[in-house]
Amino acid sequence: MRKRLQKQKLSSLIKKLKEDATVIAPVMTDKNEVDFLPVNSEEVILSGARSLYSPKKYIFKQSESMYDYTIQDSGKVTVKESCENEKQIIMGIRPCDLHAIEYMKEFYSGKYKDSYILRRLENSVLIGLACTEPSTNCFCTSLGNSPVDTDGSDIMMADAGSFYFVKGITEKGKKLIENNKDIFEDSQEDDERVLSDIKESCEKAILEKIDVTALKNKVGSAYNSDIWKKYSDICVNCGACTFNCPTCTCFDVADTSRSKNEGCHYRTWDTCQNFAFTLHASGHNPRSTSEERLRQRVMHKYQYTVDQMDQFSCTGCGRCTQVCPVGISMIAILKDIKEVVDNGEE
Amino acid sequence: MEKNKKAPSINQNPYIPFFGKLTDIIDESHVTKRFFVELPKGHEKVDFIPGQFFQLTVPGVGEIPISLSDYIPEKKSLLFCIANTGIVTNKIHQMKVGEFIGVRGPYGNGFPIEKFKGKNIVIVAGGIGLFPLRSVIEYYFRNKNDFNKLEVLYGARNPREIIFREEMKSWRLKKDTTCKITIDKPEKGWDGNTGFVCNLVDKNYSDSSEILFHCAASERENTVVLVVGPPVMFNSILKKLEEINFPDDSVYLSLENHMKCGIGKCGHCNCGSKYVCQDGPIFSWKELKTMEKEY
Repeated sequence: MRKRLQKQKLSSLIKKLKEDATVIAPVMTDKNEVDFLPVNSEEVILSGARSLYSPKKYIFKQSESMYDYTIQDSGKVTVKESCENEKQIIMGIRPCDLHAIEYMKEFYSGKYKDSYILRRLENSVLIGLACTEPSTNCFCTSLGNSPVDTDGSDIMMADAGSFYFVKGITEKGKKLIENNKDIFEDSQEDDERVLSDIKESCEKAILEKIDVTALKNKVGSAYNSDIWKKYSDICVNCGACTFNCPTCTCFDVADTSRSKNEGCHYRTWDTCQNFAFTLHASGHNPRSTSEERLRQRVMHKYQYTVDQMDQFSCTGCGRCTQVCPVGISMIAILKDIKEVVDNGEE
Repeated sequence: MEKNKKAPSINQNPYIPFFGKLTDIIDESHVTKRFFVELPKGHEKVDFIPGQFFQLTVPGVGEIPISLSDYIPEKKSLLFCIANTGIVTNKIHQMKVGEFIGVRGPYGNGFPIEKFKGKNIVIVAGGIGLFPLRSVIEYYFRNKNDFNKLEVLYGARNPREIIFREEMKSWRLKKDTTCKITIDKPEKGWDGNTGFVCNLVDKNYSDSSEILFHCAASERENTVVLVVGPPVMFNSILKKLEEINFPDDSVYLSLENHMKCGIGKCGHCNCGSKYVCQDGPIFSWKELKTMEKEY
């Protein structure tokens, strides 16, 4: 299903969509950063590079209640599962973040299904946007991804000048277009060319390139190398890289009480860069040094999830590099890994 | 065991516990207690493999993984033996009979007990490492005809921290069963073995394992060794087993990485490509050799 959406019609589309769902899109915050927030109709920013923050927080919430408990006078405990059924439409998701959501979807499925996240995904329509402009830290092509990938989206949009080229990908996406057909126009025969044009110009503009796909299944051989120390010496273990990573899935679980008999069981994002993340009750810590923790983050993304799910859990968005307060660059680490792997193979 | 189960729908939320009543609490040692939890209606049947664990919740305090010491189907109850070491276990220790505790599980792979049939089982436990192994011992006695001999090698810090004292007395009296205990340092009133538990698997130690060192070589070849204890303890055991070229695929260990969710999602127990809560907590020594040393 191919359509055109004239740019001046965007606000009427959002207005219409807001009738039965929360619409979330990139907007400029008062801190002068682009972030995904619930929007009205005017302020949506669908141009420029990807946002500083990913839309991950609308699928895997930064903090959420898992259930409420009540202790009755008899001592019996009842629990009420937290169950969100609100519909949401997330718009302007760049292909890197779509890949991340696809990864999360697979990760939180499997033998045990994370009801909260999968339910939220079921209730979401994801509208992707072809990426026209990389940020200075972007390296998606190094992972074999492209700025116009549609994987994970229900609808894909691409900026074609005066209008957006719109493609319905899933049934859910096609239905949304169908329900709003008077806002869209029919597409012309060669509209789809905008995707290859964007791909060409955007890929050319990506500064960072290293063929990570050639390192698939080989990153593990750098486990015992000395490259980790070089970076851990300056790393402050703040965890900003993990909190801003669209594929980081770790969380901590805790209880909090509202009164003597009531409270909730909740979870919050957690980071493997924290000393306490792996601390045993006995005091023993399997990853007690910064070096081991930094290695864990990199190994997990480029080797462990390859072993577990046959895919990298990095989309090349470059946010970890962008937010690092001491300037640790993932590309630099990958280049070092490549050197270790290449030397090992000689 | 898993293959017959239907894949759960996303509405079967795996994070939600059920609440069971504490029917009995017994002091075990000065830092450990036994807790019997009655399974509520609808949850009476537990499909359990020795070595698996449960997530226990105290509302308002927190949730922790605790291995199951025994499942008693006729009483519809679970036995957890818990040491008072952290915030949640401390709160559990203050709980009284009649109070309710949250339970979900069992999780993890458990020991591949089917593979042990027809073999001798040597259990090596340090401190509260004997708690999860109790379920193996109970399984052994309930299915005695399936197995050969059982030997329990146990090390405690001091006599006051010895657990399952009474049980060990009765285990000793049973056919084909031996128990050896050691405490870390000599102490007044203790006339048994002293030194770490790794002595008991040392070929040069006077009171070393019967099955490994004082039986025919064919017995040793038909033996599995199960080790549970802190990393520093099991590493010393493995060193001793290395010395006698004991086969690494006949040794099983339980790892105890920090866990939060129990179902391989929260990431805390991640060790290389494994999630200890799901792929473990039981690993063979052979597997362990291929894993990153992050346990």
